[in-house]
Amino acid sequence: MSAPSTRRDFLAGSLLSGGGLVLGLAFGDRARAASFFPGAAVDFVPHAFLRVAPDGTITFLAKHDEMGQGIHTGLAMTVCEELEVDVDAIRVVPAPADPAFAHSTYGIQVTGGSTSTWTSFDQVRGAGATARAMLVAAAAERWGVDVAACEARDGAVHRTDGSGSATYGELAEAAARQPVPADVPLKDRAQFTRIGKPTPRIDSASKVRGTAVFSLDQRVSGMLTAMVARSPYFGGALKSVDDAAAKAVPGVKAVVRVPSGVAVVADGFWAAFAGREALVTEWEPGEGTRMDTERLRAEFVEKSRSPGLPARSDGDPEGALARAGRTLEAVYEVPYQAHAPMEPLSCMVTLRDDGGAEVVTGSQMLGGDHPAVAGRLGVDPSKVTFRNSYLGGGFGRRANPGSDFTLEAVEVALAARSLGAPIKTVWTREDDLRGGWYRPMFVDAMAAGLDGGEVVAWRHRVVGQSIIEGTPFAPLLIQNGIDATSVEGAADMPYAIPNLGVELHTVALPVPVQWWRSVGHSNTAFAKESFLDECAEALGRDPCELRRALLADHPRLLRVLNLAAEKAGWDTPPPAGVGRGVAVHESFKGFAAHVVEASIEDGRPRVRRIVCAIDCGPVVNPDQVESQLQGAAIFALSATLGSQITFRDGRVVESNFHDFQVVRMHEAPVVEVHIVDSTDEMGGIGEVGVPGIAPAVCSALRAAGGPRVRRLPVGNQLA
Amino acid sequence: MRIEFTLNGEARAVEVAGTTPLLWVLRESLELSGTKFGCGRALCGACTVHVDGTAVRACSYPVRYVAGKQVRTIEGLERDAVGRAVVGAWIDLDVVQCGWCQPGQCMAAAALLSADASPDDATIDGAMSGNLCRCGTYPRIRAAIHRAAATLRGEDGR
Repeated sequence: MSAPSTRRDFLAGSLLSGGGLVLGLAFGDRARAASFFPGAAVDFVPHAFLRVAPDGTITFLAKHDEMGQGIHTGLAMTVCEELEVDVDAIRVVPAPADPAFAHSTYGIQVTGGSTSTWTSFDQVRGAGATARAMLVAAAAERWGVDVAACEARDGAVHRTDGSGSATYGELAEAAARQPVPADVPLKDRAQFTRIGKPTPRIDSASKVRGTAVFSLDQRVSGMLTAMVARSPYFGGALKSVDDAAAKAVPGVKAVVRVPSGVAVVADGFWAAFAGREALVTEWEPGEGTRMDTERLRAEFVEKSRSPGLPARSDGDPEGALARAGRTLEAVYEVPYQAHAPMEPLSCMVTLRDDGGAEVVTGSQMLGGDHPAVAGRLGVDPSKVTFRNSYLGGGFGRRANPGSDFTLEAVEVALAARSLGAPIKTVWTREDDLRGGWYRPMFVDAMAAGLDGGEVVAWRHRVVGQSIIEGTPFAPLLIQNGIDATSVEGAADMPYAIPNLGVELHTVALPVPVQWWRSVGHSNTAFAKESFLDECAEALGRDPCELRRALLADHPRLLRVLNLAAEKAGWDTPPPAGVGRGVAVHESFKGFAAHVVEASIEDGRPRVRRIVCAIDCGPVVNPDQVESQLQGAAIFALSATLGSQITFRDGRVVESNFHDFQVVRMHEAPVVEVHIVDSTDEMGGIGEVGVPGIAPAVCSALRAAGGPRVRRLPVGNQLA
Repeated sequence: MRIEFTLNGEARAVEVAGTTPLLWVLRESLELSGTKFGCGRALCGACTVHVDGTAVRACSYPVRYVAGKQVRTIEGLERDAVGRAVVGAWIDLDVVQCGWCQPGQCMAAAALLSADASPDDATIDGAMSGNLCRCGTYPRIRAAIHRAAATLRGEDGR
């Protein structure tokens, strides 16, 4: 899929523009900000994030998408800390698509990379503080006193002498007439009363009761539902279609051709599904025949035998490997992996008479989707409105670099324009699992030189597809032929090994690939941490002790390693038949260590306990850090134990949750989370808990008497 | 065909093909979108509802089979003490992450607690392993079921 050039230019420009523009847009233009809040004429809208209405209603626009990670709650806590109002007194609404809500570092509106909390922290605090300062100024003016004689507290401004108070709602109109202060001081951490305290999620009740609105729940009057029959071969093309039977299905309104295949438009999900089932299609496999997992494994392994492009070279890795008293070599493999969010993808498009459109979906990257849709329609982005929903899981899938599911929904709407109806294009689970955009398959060829009880040389060769090549992110993330995301976690590996080489072979294949929770780390950490355990075993050293020795200059990694080891009781013997494995890894500016206890029962792995320590710097909502680390462990455990996407004869083998096997309740271990009380730099959380699981599980299974598992998922390799 | 049944205590009638899965009748004809679609093949439990008190997968349950029966969805779960205890525990413990699977999880948990007031972990495994969660909320789901059971027994549960 190729994106329109206008969008590429837009993204490239945005990505390079940095944060200044963002603050400018969000804070600079109050008339523009007011446009985000319909009916806000007499309300107080200091900037793009907040509205205080005279009736006291406070609305906060969340710039980051809520896909389960609790960011709406975290952002609300952050703005409320400075606004001096309780979290449950404000209404949090997903921000519409607009550059004002661009990511503070990436420059476009996107939620990903475990960056939402730390990149928006100061900006969102500033948003709260600015509004508070203007409300206080309005109160001081009303009472004819100095602002120093006024104090904001619990949604009202109070006179410090106790002689009066006014609620924010009462002050809204007057606050709207105040100038926006150029520079508002933020609180010291010691003054925080909300940030850092375990705080209930703002979306729990609505999600539990089923009233929270997700993309698939969106409906408007007269809406039709579409389902697309896509090529079963990546890179394939439609050869022929017979739609007579499909058109005869009751409820089917039209069958139309779109670039990705054939769309059946009907009056509901079931009619669209039945209509699509009735289509008779023939597909030309094209390049898709190259996709065959067993053949690709052999090709990748063959490639890994020759040097790749250098991503890092310390000392003399090749020389040291040749001179070492003993060398170890091992090949690690991970498969294609689907995100499989529980809510399948959907996107509703209403075409407008002026050539624009209204789009309602669940996206992690409105900043990409919005210009992409405008580009496809050939209109200015101002003629395309985007509304986001709660995301029923994302894991990266909904931040699509090609805007695949939003653009396709627009194609369907255009092809079926004569129906004159809003059309929601929906995906089934089969569409999701067979629709591509996977975490790529990788082979990691490892070599180590051992001498004098130490690891003296290390070589890590990565073979796999680039998720960045061909996307607008390429100029930033591909340097000298190295996709930084392919080697992240390997090229920046922290262990003090004097001769260290990391190399990359980038493979081109027709299957579309993209980021999957923890991206390159989901592969590299498995190889790095597992192979270090192989070194420890060969050297007769304790895996924790060896890591400590090699991490002397990495205090944050050392601290989480020691904490996890202590809490897990690493120095005490495990229960009979149980093995322990450890992993420690930095990703997304977060530091995590895992100790896993596992056993082998009837030839099957059983993960019994996961102890996790994280240092993500100062914490906004500890309860959600715990929740994210629990969830990350179980998400990663699925990919470690059972789930994978494989190809046979050009087609994806897996189709639904019977053969794409994810962890279920009876397989879910206890996950204990320990958060380091840290005043270091703030970092990521959501993805940080993923990379260490696979290696710690496999090392635990090895310690329990099993073989060293070097290929994921573990599946039945222990039988 | 015309199908009459009781939905969350109220008499309802729909005019649809009898083979249509109950899920789409609930979500589209009756506009009750608390029951979720996850797999379409009774593999994930996101669409779990009760038919005459038994947890079933609405995505694979032809609507004609509910004729004359009692159907309960998440929208009606808090009509009884078990449902209120389940929803309350889920909220108290902040079980949800993305939330898509949680109405189905609650329906499965309520069916379990109606049959077994004090389920142990193995019983919870057996009753809940048909309900998938990609966010990995299982530890909190387990804790919430124990909490709801304690509430129903009149204990504080903490």
